[in-house]
This record gives sequence, structure tokens and C-alpha cells, in this order.
Amino acid sequence: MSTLHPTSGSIPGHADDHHDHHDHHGPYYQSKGSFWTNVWDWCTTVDHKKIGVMYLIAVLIFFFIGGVLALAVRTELLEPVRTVAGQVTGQFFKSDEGIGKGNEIYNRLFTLHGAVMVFMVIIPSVPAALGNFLLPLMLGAKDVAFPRLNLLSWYIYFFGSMFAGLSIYFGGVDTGWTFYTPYSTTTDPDQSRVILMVLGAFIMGFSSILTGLNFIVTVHKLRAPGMGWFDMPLFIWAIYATSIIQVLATPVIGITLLLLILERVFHIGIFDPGLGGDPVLFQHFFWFYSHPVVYVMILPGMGIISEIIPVHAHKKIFGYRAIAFASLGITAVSFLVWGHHMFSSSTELAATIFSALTFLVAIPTAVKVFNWILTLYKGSIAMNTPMLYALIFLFLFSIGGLTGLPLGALSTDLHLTDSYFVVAHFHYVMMGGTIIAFVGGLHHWWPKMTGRMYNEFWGMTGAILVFIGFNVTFFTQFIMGVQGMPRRYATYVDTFQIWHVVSTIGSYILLVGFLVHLFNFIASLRGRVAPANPWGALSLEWYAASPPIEHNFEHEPIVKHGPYDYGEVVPFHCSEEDYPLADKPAGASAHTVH
Amino acid sequence: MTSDLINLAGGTFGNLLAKAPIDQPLRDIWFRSRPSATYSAAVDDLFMWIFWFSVIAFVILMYLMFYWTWKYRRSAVKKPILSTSHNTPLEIAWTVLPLIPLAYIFFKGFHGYADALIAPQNAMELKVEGKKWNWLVTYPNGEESPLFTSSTNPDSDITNTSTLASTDVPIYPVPEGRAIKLRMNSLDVIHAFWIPDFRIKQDVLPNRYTSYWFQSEKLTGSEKLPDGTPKADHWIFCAEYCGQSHSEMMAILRVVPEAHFDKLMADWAGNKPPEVIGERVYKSQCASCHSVDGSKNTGPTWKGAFGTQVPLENGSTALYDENYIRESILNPQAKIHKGYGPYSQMNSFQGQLDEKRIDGIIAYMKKLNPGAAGAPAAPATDSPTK
Repeated sequence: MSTLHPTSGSIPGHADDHHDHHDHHGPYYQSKGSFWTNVWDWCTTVDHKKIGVMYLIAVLIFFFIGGVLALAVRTELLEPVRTVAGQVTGQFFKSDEGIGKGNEIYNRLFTLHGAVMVFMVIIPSVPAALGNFLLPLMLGAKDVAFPRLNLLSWYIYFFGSMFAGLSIYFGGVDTGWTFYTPYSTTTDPDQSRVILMVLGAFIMGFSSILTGLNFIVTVHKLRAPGMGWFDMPLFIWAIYATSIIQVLATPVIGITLLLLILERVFHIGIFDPGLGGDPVLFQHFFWFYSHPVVYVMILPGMGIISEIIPVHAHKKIFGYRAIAFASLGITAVSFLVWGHHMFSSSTELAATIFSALTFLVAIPTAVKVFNWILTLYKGSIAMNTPMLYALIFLFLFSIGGLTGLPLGALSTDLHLTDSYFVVAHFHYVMMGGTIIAFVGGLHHWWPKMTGRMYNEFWGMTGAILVFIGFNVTFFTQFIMGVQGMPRRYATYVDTFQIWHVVSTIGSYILLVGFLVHLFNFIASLRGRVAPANPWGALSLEWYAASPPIEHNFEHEPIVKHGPYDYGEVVPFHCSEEDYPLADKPAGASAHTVH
Repeated sequence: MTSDLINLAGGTFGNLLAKAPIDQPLRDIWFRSRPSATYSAAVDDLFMWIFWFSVIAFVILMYLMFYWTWKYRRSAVKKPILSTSHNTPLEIAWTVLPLIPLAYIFFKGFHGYADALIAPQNAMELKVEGKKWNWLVTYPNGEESPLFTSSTNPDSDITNTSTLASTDVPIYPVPEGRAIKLRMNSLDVIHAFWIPDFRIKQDVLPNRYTSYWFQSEKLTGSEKLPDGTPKADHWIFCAEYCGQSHSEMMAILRVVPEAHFDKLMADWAGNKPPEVIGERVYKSQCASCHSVDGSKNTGPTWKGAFGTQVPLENGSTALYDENYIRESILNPQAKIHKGYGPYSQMNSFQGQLDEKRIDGIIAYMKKLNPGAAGAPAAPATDSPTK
């Protein structure tokens, strides 16, 4: 039974068939000729791997920008009164009045931090960057279903972010990333920065929709022979659920943002009460999209954790179907709970119904956490950077989830909403969840993407620094939120200063942690060459070479075992010495007969 | 029936925790202030219930995670063990059982919410208006509070001292031990009226009223006014982002004895000279953008402005007289001070300031430039106009 992995001899001689004009068997990123030939090749590539790498580079650049903005915000908050924001960044934002302009600079800083991190980093991070690279590989396919559409999605994302960049160049916006009306329709009346920023988000939405569509079709049509729905890695299930949300919810934000632009330009009176509109309607529209999108952000992160834990624990994942169905369950419920962002502006009946529905989301999420932790039981756990990140994810995400409870309950929410408690809560989920999973996944698949191993010592060091820095930064924000610190405050009463100072120190530790990772990754490009399957994993991307060839596989893999049958089959390219098989319980092998 | 059982179990859990010696010190860290209003104690109780529930769940999960990660580390496991990857009763249990505490949290939260929104019949109603970037509170007798934190005000010794309180923060006195209902709306964008010590906020919307109530506490006498009258100060913050001076849109709710409150009400209702009315309107509605000390803010300073020639955005000038002030209040876009355009940040106060208040502002601005023509208490020797 130990030879159940895709058989290289299934199509004899196939691998040697076309060695004719071009070498298709080198790494996907190998040079095609001169520098400009390569630039043209990357700009016009329809290879999902190259597109994934381009997304990855863009996401990392925007993550850097968003991070710098966050550090500026934290540094400003060291003192209760205005300090650096007016002076240092005033020039960057073309505000010659400096400190006389009051808190406007600070308000732009936190708005841009939010907008960049949400629309340009977290939403595309896992699905577009890692998803693009991995989805066809994990399915055993050559590419996504519509490779040219995939390239188009990338260009739409790119041009959307250019619009946002243009808005920042002209001075940025100060609406908050949520663009709440009527503030967003009345601020900045003479210029078009809000319109540019909103247009950027609108355009990037199409990238989301097309990528989602592409992935859904790919999952349905391009699974390798022998791979049923329940033989797919759980990362695929997560990406699949995410894609459904992207296709269904993104058009809503598209039309909402378009209405916002129409409102600003033509004053048609949908949201502005001065013209007969309803400002809370915008919040309904906005959160009808943005709440499901919270799960666009977190589900793929959960998918990564569902890969990392069984691979490095060398253990079949506990409750495969429960996790898969929990992804779909979260997708369904996510469309019903948008009102919990608006308890303080809703009518009483709406608030009550949304509060009750909100608690339903807790169930599938909790089930996933139980499953992951139980997967560790009786495993064979290798402690390395990806595994450490998975544990950090479980730690931080559990706190993020549990702190959702007082926000879901009505009476406590009326105290905590729009306070730093909310800020801390969604950073524990979005950053402690998605970004932590993303960085963990980046380490996990780094050997596959680059063909090189990163340095494990520095990877672990960076992870520990990020963990400490993260908790120092954000746990303090829970406390000051309950004590009464409102969010989006450029200045604050002195009582909160001690917590702000501690939080800011934490953000600097975070910076050091991420810089360690950055240098580790750069150094790894000249580091040890990665084997095809360094972790002894069973999903198909590890069957391909590291890095994969242009068409992913020398020949189409045929799936004969599940992605998590650890201990039952020897992983691809590995020997039984390194990954010994388990002793079979007597009479328990019936299911492996083929 | 089921809900009774859930309530009983949840209540027992809460009572047990409240007896733990660490409960109160932790509450003091989390909340900093003891609950002031009646229902806010219930908010604290629910928060602490969820907190302890979360701590227990978290500790169990993390214990298992770290223990198994250590016990089954690869160097200690020579041969993988095939254990079950699926257990239907266990999976059903952990899907269904969490519904019980969740149901308890939901119902408790709903009860607290209903308690905060449904005011008693005899509640005193305060009208709250939010505008960029001030709170306006109108008392049942139609008066507004003239009290502000400042070095010249004897009432200014707020205990929550703050670097920010050097700017004038309005103080709204309310009588102790009374049910007070807030009826709130906004004059421009969305704001939110948050009193952290009472654990409650609601958004303040431009197109409909929102409302909640609170019970002011009985004074303990730990804080006192300079004349020895007991008091208790509570911060009011704007919690919904509303633009440039969002973070300075704050006020202080001051609980005072009933007799002191009645005396204040009687004092405010008396006739006042226009410049006193003007100063009050300035502090409550204009000070977030206009200074009276000559410094530049969102709008131009009022110091020494009256009677001068104003340079305008369109290159011409205008005489800073009574008509210019009136026009700028009612139609701010008409003549914009140079350096504050091309569009004025100011909204029209048409319908918000009555004649008495506009007269007051004019009188106050005259007072701020004693040398100018038409200003009181100064000999009008020369006119700056041609």
C-alpha cells in the first residue's frame, strides 16, 4: 500500500515526449532571454504561478506601506496631544499648514492604513497570491480554468490600486476605510480624492469577482483524475467558499460605491438626509458586502492552517468533512449578520435579530478550532516556522473569536462598539488570523515557490518577535477600549496614555519581527536548494518539482489517496526511513483496497 | 422551560465567579471606573461572565494545544500512530453544547439592551444635538449650560484632568439619583454619544431621533466643587468618526445635588447681557474652529477682527461689521476669508441660531476688538474704513 501516490509510470514514456524546441522542464521562472524579453514575458504571462508571484510582490509592497502608516498612527498616539502627524507627514500629504490643520493628517493616516490593509493586502493576500499559485497545483491541474481572465484580474487589481495611489498622491482621504455617509459625501468638496479612492475600491472589486469565478470553475472542472470533492485539500475548500462570497457579495459593494460617487457628483439624495436620503442605508449596503468579506479575509487563512497542521503534525486532519462544511456554513451565515456592525444605529428589532444570528457564526468557527487542536493528538509534530505560526494563529484567533462574544451581545456592545475594544478584536482576527496564517503559509510554501529553503532559526525568531509584539500592541487596546477610549481619536484624555505607550512599543517589536522575516526570505534566495517535498506532505503541490515547471507536472497526476493519509502512505519523493508507516490495526485496512 | 434552565445555570456560574477574590480587582482594571448607572452594573456583570467563560475555554484549548504539541513532538514519536480522525458523538457534542452559553449571553445582552433603551415615565428629558464638533444639550426649561472647563471658571476643577481640557470643554450638570433620558439627533453627519462610565452609547443620526436613558448615581462626596458641594464628573465622547476634530468632540457630564442643580437652572434662566450669551454660544458652537486668542484654526480667529477689512478668497475685501458676521453665520460660502477657501468648511447655521444668539455673537465679537468702531466701552476715535 506504500506506493499509492501518483504513479510516475502510469503513462510510460510521456515525460520524454517533447524535448523538441524549448525546455519546458526548468523552473517556471527561468529566464527566457534578455532582460526585456523577461519583462515582456512576465507582463503577458498566463501562468498562474507567475501571476501569483506578481500578486505576492504587490501585496508585500502594500503591506509594507500599510505597516508604515500603522507605525505613524501608533507613534502619533504616544502623546495625548498632536505631535508628529502634523509636522513630519504634513509635507508628504501636501498640507502646508502642518499642525494648524488640526487632526486631518492623523485622520488620513488611519484611513489609508485601513483602506490599504483591507482592500490591497488582506483581501488579495491569500486568495489571489497564494491561491493563484497553489490552487491548480493542489488540484493537479496545469493552470486555472481561464488563464487569460486570470491575467486580466491581475491588471484590474493593478489599475484599481493605481487609482487609490493617485488619491493618496493628491493628499489622501479622511473618511475612514468604511466611507460612512453623509461624512464621505460632504468632505473634501472641491477635489476628487474620495471619488478616486472609492473608484479604486470599485475597480479592485472586479478583480475579486473574476478571480472568484475563475477559481470556482477550476475547482469544479480541473480536479485531477481520481480526486473527488472530499479528496481535495481543505485549503481548496476554503478558497472555494471564499470564491462564492466574492462572486455573490462584491457586486453589492460595487453598486454601493458607484451610488456614493453618483451622490457626490450629482447630489441625487440616496444617502444624504439633506437631500432626502438615509445615511444608515449606506451602512446596510456597505456591511452587506463587508461582513461576508470579513470571511473572504479569514476563510483562506483557516484553509492555510488546515494544511499546515496535518502536514507538520504528520497526522490525518480530524473531522475533514466538518471543517469543509464549516467553511460553507460560515459562507451561508456570513450573509445574514451584517447588521451586527450597526447595533448603535439600528432599530431595536433589527438589533435583536442580528444579535441572535451573530451567535450562530460562533459555532462553525469554534468547530474548526476544536478540529485543529484535536489533529495534534497522537501526531508526530515537527516544530518549525510554519507549525509555530499555526500555533500562534490558534492562540490569537481564539482570543479574537472569544472577544467577539461581548460584541455580539447587545448590552455590552453598546458600551464597546466604536471603542479600542473593537480595534483590538478585529486586529486579533484579521491580523492575528489572516496575516499570521499568510506569513505561516508563506514559510510553508516558500520552498515550493522559490525552490530554496529559508533559515529555520531566523524564521522562528521572527515568529516569536511577531507574537510578542502583536500581543503587546493589541491586548492593551482591549483594556483601554473597555475603559472608554474611542477609536479614530487623534488626541485623547491623559488617562489612556500609559496603554497607548505600551501599545506603540509593541508595534515597534512587530516591525522588528517582520523585518527579520524579510531579511530571512531575501537571504534564502541564495540559500539551500529545496527538495521537492521538504515537509513530507501528501497534497499534490508537493508532487511537483520545487519550483514547479511551467506546466506544473511532468505528466498529469492520478490521485490514489487522500491529502491527509499520513502514516498510511509514504509521501512523494520521500523514503519510508524518513516517514515510517504506522502499524495497521488488525482488520482495519479494508478502505485502502483499490 | 429550557430558557429557565439556561438562566439558572448561567446565573449560578456568574454568582460563583463574583465570589472569586480576583473578580473585583480584574473589574477595576477592565473598567477603571465603577458602574454609575443602574443597568451599567448589569453590563459589567455580563462582560465579566463572558470574560471568565472565555478564560476557561481559552485555557483548556491552549493547555491541550501546548501539551499535545510537546508530548507528540517528532523526536519523541518514532512511529506514527493511526488514531481516529472522526468521532460523530464528540463532533455533535461540541457543535451543539456551545449553543447553551451562547443563548445565555444573547438573552442577558438583550435584557440589558432593553433596560438601557426603555426609559422610566418620570425621566427628565435632555435634548442632545451633535454637530461638527460640539455637543449641544438643552435642558427642559430651554436653557443651555454656560459651564466650561477653563482656568477662569470656578467650576473647572475637573478631576479627570487632561492636557486636552486646557481647551474649553462644556460641562452639563444633572441632578443626582434621577432618571435622565436623552433624545438625540445630529445637525450634520453621524455622531455617537458615549458616556463610558454609564457603559452606553447610541449613534446620533441626522434624520431621526435616537434615545437612551441613565440613572445618575447618588453622590458619595469623594469629589467636591470648590464651594464644598459634592459632585461626580463623567466624560462624554463622540464615538462615531465625524472628521477633523472628532477626538475633541467631548464634554463632561457632572452629577450634582438636586438643590445645586435647581439653583443653576434658576440662575441660567435670568436675563443676561448679549455678550454673555454670545460667549456661551461661542464656546458651545464656534470654539472648535475659531479661536479668540489670535491663533489660526479651521476658521479664522475672532480676536481683533470686528471693524477691520477682511481679505476675501476672491481677492476683494469686506468690512467686518454686523452684516458680515450675520451673513457669514447664515451663508458661510458667500464671503470666504482668504486662506480658508476655496470652499468654507463651515455649515450654515440658518435655523439653528435665533436672533438673540446672533446678537449675542455680534456683541461678543465687538468685545474682542475694543478699539474698533461701534465697539462698546472704547472711544470711537478713528474708523478703519475709508
